[in-house]
Amino acid sequence: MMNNENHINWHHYKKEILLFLGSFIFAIVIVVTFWISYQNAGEIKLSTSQEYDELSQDVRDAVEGKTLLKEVGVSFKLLKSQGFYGDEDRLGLTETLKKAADKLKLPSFKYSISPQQRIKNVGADFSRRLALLESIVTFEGGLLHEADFLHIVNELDSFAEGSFIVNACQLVREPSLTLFEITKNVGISCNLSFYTVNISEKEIEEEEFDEFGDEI
Amino acid sequence: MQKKYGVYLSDSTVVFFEVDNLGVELLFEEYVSSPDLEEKCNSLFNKYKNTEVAVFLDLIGEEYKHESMPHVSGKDRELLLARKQQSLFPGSDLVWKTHVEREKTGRKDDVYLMMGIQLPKMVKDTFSSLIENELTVSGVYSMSILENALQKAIPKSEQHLMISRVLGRQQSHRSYRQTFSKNQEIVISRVTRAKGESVDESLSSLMVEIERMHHFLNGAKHLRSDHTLNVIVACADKETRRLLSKNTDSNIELKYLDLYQLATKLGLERPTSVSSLPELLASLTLNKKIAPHFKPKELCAKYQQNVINNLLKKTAIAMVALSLLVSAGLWWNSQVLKNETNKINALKIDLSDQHNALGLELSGEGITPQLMENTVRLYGKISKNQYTPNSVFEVLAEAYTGFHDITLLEINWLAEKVDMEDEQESRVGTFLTALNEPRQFTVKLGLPKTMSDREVVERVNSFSTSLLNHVKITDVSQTSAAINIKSSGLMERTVGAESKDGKPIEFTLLVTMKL
Repeated sequence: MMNNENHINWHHYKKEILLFLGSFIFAIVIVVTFWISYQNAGEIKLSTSQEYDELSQDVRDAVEGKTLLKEVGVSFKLLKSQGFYGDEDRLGLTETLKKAADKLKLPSFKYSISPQQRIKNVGADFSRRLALLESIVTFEGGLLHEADFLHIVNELDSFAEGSFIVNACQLVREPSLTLFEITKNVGISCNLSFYTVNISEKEIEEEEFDEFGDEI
Repeated sequence: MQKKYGVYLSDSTVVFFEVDNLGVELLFEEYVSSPDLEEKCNSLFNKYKNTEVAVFLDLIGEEYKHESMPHVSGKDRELLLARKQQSLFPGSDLVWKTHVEREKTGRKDDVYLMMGIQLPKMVKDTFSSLIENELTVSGVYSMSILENALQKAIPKSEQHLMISRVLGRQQSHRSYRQTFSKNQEIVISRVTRAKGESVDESLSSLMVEIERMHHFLNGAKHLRSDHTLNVIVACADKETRRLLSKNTDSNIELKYLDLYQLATKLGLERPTSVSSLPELLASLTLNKKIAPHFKPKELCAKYQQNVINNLLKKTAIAMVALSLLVSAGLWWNSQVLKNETNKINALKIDLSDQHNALGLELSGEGITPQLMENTVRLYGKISKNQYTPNSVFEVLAEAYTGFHDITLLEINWLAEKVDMEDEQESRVGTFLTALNEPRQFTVKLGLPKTMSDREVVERVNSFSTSLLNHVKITDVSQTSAAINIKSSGLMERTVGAESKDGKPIEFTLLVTMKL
């Protein structure tokens, strides 16, 4: 019986197989090359678009900032001159307290200023790029009159106008009043918070280092 | 249509022909008995070296058998069929098989129609000559199997015997193929020699052969004795007319088959001349690309090789073309992206200039205006909620008018904010929300001992009401009282001359105020 089946002898197809393999490799190489080029072009376009969007946002912010500057620029400069924005003038504060006590000729006046602390949760509207810093001033003393307390507060207000709040205070009248000599008629014990705003150091550090910890 | 070539091999002739739209043209015809057949064949085949040809066999030694086999599939079926082929056609050189049906009862066996051909030496020699001369043989066809393709084109009948002439120009001793089909399946096909010195004598011999076939079919019970045998004569016009004029047995009915009409029915363009059924079948096969019945390995090796090589070449070309197309598309898209990037870069430069110009304007304070605005806003909130003595004294001064008999012994600004009952809530509150909360302070009042209890209580209540009348005061309550007149409270007091120590009667009020 004649062999009615066909078996493939691959050596007869050597040239064609080589041609096929060569074409296959060529096809893969050329497609991969252009694919990589396409991918790179896409990535460059994406990053450029992102940079453009960021720049657009910056320009929008700058335009908005220009309007804001007109509105709040003068006020801010005033606050800066008052010391609400910037580094705390602790020496000035102690001088003010001493000056007030001297001026009133208080028989006794004791004060302390706590280390300045950052308030972590100021509020949603407050930028993370700013830091609100608090120094707590505690003083005790004997006053001639309740109005002396007003005088002290007014002195402090002239030093740091609107930059502090009264946390707690106690004015206690002495059982007997002496009107003709300098002596304690009212006892006072007070706790005040003085505030300053500054650029957040944490934010500055974050800006200087990217997310991988590499310095920018 | 491109010309195609075929080699027709019968027991008596070797024919080489070409097929085109016009039909079949015989290019070479030689009797097997010719002494220089081999030489002529070699010369012819050498001339058509590398030409693709199909081989058509129209031989006496074709044997058909119907065979039932258990219904198995896969490799088992292949092995079973091979064994069956070996046992049924031990001497056959080529075997063909087709699945006819599956029995509906009993073991439900598969029924196969099998055909074996024993090739004469002349055919084997011709095959060798084709191989030696490197002709590309696409496959081998059996004329009897091809006749089965005509079933759809001829009038349906339960049984028929088809008469066709074996190709050749000889006028005497012609050969004819008789193929008996029942229920549209070949039962038997044989080539008979119609001896005779003239055409008429040959046709008379053919009639005798037809009658012999009729007897055989009756004997083999393929045909019932009372049934008429339908004989379809598929020969050239003249030949058919002469055959139809012959007297026949009453149980044989001769019918004429017009080869031109048949060609049209089979979907072939009307050929210029069709002198025999083999020519029509060869034309049908090559035009309609019917699959070969046999593919002997050595004979079809070159064709197979060409097919695979062409496939590889075409695939390679297609692959390269496709890759170039895809690459072109990617390149184009890359260019589009690059152009878009360039446009964005140009816009970026404009924006950058604009930004730099604005930046210079805004860079005076070393802080952005947004942050300036934040700072100013925060300052505003702090300065409005300082809770300074001025605000407390102002409230007390207004309320104190007309109450000079009351001494203010102590004022205490409370550090605790209002609504501190829920500690959790106060913890989650922000600095700014805490600033806006109402504040509380206590005032310790001293009233002279000279007042009666009723007067004292009335004065304290009046002072409380006076405080409450201020817009900033939201609540006033007594936290301690020297004279507690509430029924639920404890009333304890020393009266009499000895109790007069000059100490005033003390009350403490808790005042809640908005800033």
